[in-house]
Amino acid sequence: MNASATSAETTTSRASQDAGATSEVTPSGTTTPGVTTPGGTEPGDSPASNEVTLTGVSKSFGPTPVLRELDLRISAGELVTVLGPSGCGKTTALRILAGFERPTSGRVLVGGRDLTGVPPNRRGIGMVFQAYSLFPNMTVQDNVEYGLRVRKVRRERRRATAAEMLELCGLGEFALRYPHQLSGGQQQRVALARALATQPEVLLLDEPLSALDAIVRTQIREEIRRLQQQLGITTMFVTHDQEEALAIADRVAVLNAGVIEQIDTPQTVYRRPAGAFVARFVGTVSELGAEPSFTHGALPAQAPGPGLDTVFVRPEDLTLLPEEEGRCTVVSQIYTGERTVVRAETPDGVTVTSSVSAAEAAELVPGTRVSPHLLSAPALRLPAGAGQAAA
Amino acid sequence: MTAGLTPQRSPGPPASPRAGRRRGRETLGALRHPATLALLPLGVLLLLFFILPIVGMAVIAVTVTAEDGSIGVGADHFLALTSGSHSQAILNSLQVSAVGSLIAAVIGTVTAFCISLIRSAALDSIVAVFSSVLANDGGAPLAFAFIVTLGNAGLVFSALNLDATGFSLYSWQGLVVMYQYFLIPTMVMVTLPTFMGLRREWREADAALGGSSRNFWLRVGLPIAAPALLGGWVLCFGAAFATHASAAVLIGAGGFPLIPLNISSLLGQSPSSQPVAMALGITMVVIAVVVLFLFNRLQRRSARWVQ
Repeated sequence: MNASATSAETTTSRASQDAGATSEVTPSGTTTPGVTTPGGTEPGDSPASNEVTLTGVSKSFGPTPVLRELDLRISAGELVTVLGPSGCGKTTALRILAGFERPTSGRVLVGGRDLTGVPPNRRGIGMVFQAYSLFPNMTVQDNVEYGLRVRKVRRERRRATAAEMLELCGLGEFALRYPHQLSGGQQQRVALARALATQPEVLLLDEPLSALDAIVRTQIREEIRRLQQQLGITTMFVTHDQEEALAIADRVAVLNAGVIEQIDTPQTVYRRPAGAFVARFVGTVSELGAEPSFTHGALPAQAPGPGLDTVFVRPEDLTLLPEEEGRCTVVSQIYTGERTVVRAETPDGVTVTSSVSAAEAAELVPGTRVSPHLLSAPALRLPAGAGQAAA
Repeated sequence: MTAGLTPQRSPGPPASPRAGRRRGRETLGALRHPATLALLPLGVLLLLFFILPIVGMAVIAVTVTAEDGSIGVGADHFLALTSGSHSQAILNSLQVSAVGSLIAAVIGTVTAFCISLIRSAALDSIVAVFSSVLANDGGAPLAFAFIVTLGNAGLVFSALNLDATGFSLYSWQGLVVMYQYFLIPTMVMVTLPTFMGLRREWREADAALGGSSRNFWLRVGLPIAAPALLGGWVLCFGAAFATHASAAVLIGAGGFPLIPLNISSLLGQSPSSQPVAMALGITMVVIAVVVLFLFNRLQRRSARWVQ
């Protein structure tokens, strides 16, 4: 699926909505005195000029192609997560946008300006890395000031901006600490504050939460989203964590083998995946064979095969009814808090997964014979023949 | 202004008296482990051949016999070092060590930096092996090797016609050249891990923040590497300062006084010369302890940053 076909129309910049929330912490090119806007943007440019476009970007490392004719447009103020398995090219796409890799072909535009050959230090892009990238010889405050210092911003102005950014990220009291005196989560928040201090046109996040534990990851994920919306900054967030991708994004781009399979809102990517890869990669899905005439009701628990449509059913769209002559047997229950995920199997190994309430789960103990029933339309239905190709 | 997240518990500043006491208790606790017995042979060796000799040297160095035969404590033997051949030996040792270690520090740093740029695991292994072997090489064989190549009848000396330049291997400049053989590998061995430890993310963060390569090296790269570079230099200084056998073979006694050569010479003379030798030895130990202390502090700082 071509990304550009569905891109950019869904989201509007949040900068205007939150313009009054902060006085001087505004997206690149706005009115902070003393700060030279990076990347050559003239003061007064609106955030809407910070649209990111990758056009026909390909990248090969030696004979190995990593990105293939990638088209991606990120509207100004929008947060797009790039989601995909290891080696799909998502980090390469981000590094090309940052200027750390040169595309084999294609163009990179920010706000309409062609940045393809521009070195990274002249792109005006903020970046938060996967590994801790804080300068260990500097205090938190000096780290946050660094970008302003290389721009020769006056000391008082630097101090004020750094203090403001640290306050914004909840790190005011840590200003004089060194990175090794901070926890992993605090370090990543300093990295975020540092990236935002220069008021970049675009913010790039390369799996910034992958080294953190689950609770801190959720906290900082929400923090990133809040700041991104507050500042209205155009953002690309690369991750392999589907929950993270869905939770934080305006739109999700699902990347597979260097090609965007689908780019859409998180709801659409989950509820209406564009193909088998997206259906399988994003969320849990039961992949079953169904007669072309089947529409609803009892779902035949059979594997996809010749002459059958392939249906991809989300756990919440499927219920398991206890029946003595049911074809499936419950094999496991996974308690997730609000819901319980129940997995059942046919004798020939076809698996169906359902998400049920605690009350329903009580009747679905392992060993119970059940029959799957479709509650609503499957997330994806591939007609007979196409399903075999997708497999 | 929106408040940020509630800050999580921080590891906090590590260095506090309470933390120091806790570490002390932990160390004592660890020493109660039965495996500590394995350290006994090492402890005995240190006691017999390191601590006792130093204590003995110190006692002899400060023991003064008066004209009436009475024995007391005084600094007479140390005062004897402030003039004549011994003061010259101290100055010469400091001069040769300072110049030799500085040259090695510069060459070794550039070498280690270039090796780190190549990013080859095979090369790193080869360099590590050769550096550690060469850094611990020396003694009479090294001096003979240099005599054969750079001595007055040496192959390289003749080939390059070094006679015309006034260079002589049997001078302090010759010592400095010979010391490079083990000082440069020492410097490479100490600084290469630091250059290898400079993260790619730091350079890229510098670039993303608008910094140039010059900015990176001035504000990030060199400050991070500085403790290791200074530590390497200090270690080279210490190594040059303590070198005895190769210098003895090359220079011999009396030609160019150095502390180790003077100690050796004094020990071969009458017993009355021994207290001065001990004072000279204690002076050397003090300088070595200062060097090791500085090296240790700098290495710890460097290791903390480059972890």
